[in-house]
Formats: sequence, structure tokens, C-alpha cells
Amino acid sequence: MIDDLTLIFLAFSVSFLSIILHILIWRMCAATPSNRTLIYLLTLFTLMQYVFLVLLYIFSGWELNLKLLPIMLVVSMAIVGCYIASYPAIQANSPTFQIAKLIAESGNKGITQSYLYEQLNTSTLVADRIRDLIKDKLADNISGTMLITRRGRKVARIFILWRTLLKESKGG
Amino acid sequence: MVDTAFIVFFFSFMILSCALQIGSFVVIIRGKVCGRRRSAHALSLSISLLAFFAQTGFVLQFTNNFLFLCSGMFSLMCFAYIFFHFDNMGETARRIRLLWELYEHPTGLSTDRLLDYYPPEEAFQRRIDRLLQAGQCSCSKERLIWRGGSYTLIQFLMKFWGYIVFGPEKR
Repeated sequence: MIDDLTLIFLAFSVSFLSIILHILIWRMCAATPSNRTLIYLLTLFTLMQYVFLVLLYIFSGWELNLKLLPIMLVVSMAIVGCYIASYPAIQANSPTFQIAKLIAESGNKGITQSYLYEQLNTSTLVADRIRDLIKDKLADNISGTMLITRRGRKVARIFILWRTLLKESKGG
Repeated sequence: MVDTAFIVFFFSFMILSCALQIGSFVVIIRGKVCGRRRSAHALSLSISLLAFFAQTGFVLQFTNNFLFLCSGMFSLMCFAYIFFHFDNMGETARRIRLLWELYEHPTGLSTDRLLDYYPPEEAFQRRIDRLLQAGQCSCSKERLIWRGGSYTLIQFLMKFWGYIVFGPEKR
């Protein structure tokens, strides 16, 4: 029977292999797929590997305690979840990091807020994210009017509820 | 110990610890216990890890299972990281703010009107304030001076990972 340490190692390997497969697909695609595609793909890759492990157990007589598989699945999905949570920061050009870079480049002399604002491409600061909303099907642009989709309403409701629970106003 | 009971214990402890983390975070933020949001996250994670330890202690009396403890602690830390990002999205994400504005205007808004509700100036000012609050930079004689900190490392890691995922052409 496989020991505990090997099972943890196996759970790690499954999630890392899913992430490697996603990178290969992303590199092959001309246009970057949406965040939604990333969630579906990573979940699918991870589940497929577990199905493969079960098949290996059934057909090759590999000594694996199937009852521990749910725990391994939790560990793998936790790693994949962490990756999905970090992905938007990698994908979008974070304005905070752009600001940080400009301030750091100014050295000990520093930089004034007005000059910093001029240096930033502020027209894309919010406008780019509007395009992302349409790409992720959270909003629609119908003859110049932005309308929230049903999916967008669901997402918005979750965050409004969360911020209300914390007694906090709109972020941004 | 019977494997099925072992799995049931694992999942119930995990759910309980996660619920405790979310609950304690809400109490910390509403009660303004911590000045900084990051400290609130660290405190709620500590509470959930302690709770998991206490519950696991009960199970480990019967079995000396390495997998139970390690995978539980690791998954809880991953959950805390995901939870941190979820909360951070509500706090900082431009997309969520825009969705909120659209949610409040079900008949729709033109792009210009949407930008009136969430102007780039506001997005810029909020980020400057956050950098100052986090102690990443300081303001002296109306000039912003970089003090260096964790953001430099995070920025490097994000850039590096972005390079790996998207390749040099798409960056």
C-alpha cells in the first residue's frame, strides 16, 4: 500500500500537471482564453487525472486506498484554486504595480501625484476592464449601452452581499 | 480507524474550520479589531488553524495519521489564500466595481456614464492611498518616495509568471 507521504506528493503532482497543461494550451492559442475557460480547464484536467488513477487501480492492480482519494482531491483542488485566484493579477496589467514601478524609478527624489497621473495611461485604467466584462460575458454592449447579464448579476450580488456583511461600501 | 469515519471527520473539520475563519474575519472587520486588512486575514487564519489542530487532536488519539493532519493544514492555508483573494476582489477589483455600478442601473449605462460613476481619477487615488497605507511608499513635501517592500518582490514574481504563461510575445 502507498504511504501517506506518497499520496500527498501524488496530489501535488496532479495539480502541477494540470497547471503545466494549461500553460501549454495558453501558449498555443493566438488569443488568450477567458478566465472562465481557465476554471473549467483546470478543474477538468484535475478530475481527469483522478479518473485515470482509479482506472489504474482497477486495471493494473495498483495498491491505492480509494477511500483516501477525496482527501487527495481536496489538496489538488486547493492548489488549483490558489492558482485560479492568482491568475487575474498575472493576466491584467495591475495599475498598482505600474504606479509602484514609476515611483520606484523616480528614486530618492520622488514623484508628484500629478506627474505620476500624467505618466499613466489612465484611459485604459478602467476602459480595459469594461472590455474584460464583455469578454467574460458579465456585461453586454448593446448599441452603445452597457447592460449587466444574468451571470454578471449573480457575481455582483455575491460581492454586494459580502461587502454589506462587512459594513463596507463599494471598492475599486 | 475505519476509513469512512476518517473521511467524514476530515470533511467536517475542514468545513467547520473554514466557517470559523470566515466568521472570525467578519467579526474582526466589523468590530475594527485590526487596523490593517492583512492582519485581519492572518488573525482569522490562525483561529481556523488552531481550531483544526484542536479537532485533529481528538482524532489523532486513535490514529497516528500523517495524511490527515498535513493535507488538512495545507488545504486550510490554500483556502485562506483563496478567501484573501475573494475579499481583495471586493476591495480592489475594477471589474467588480463596474459590475456593481451596472447592477445598480439595470436599464444600462453608456460607457461614458459608466466612467462618470467610476472615473479613472478615483481608481488612481485609491491605489495611491493603499500604497501609502501599506507603507510601500511615503509622501514628503507632496512627493511620493518609494520605500521598497513586499510589493517589489510580488511585482517581480507576477511578471516572471506572466512571462512563463503568456510567453514574450503576448506580454
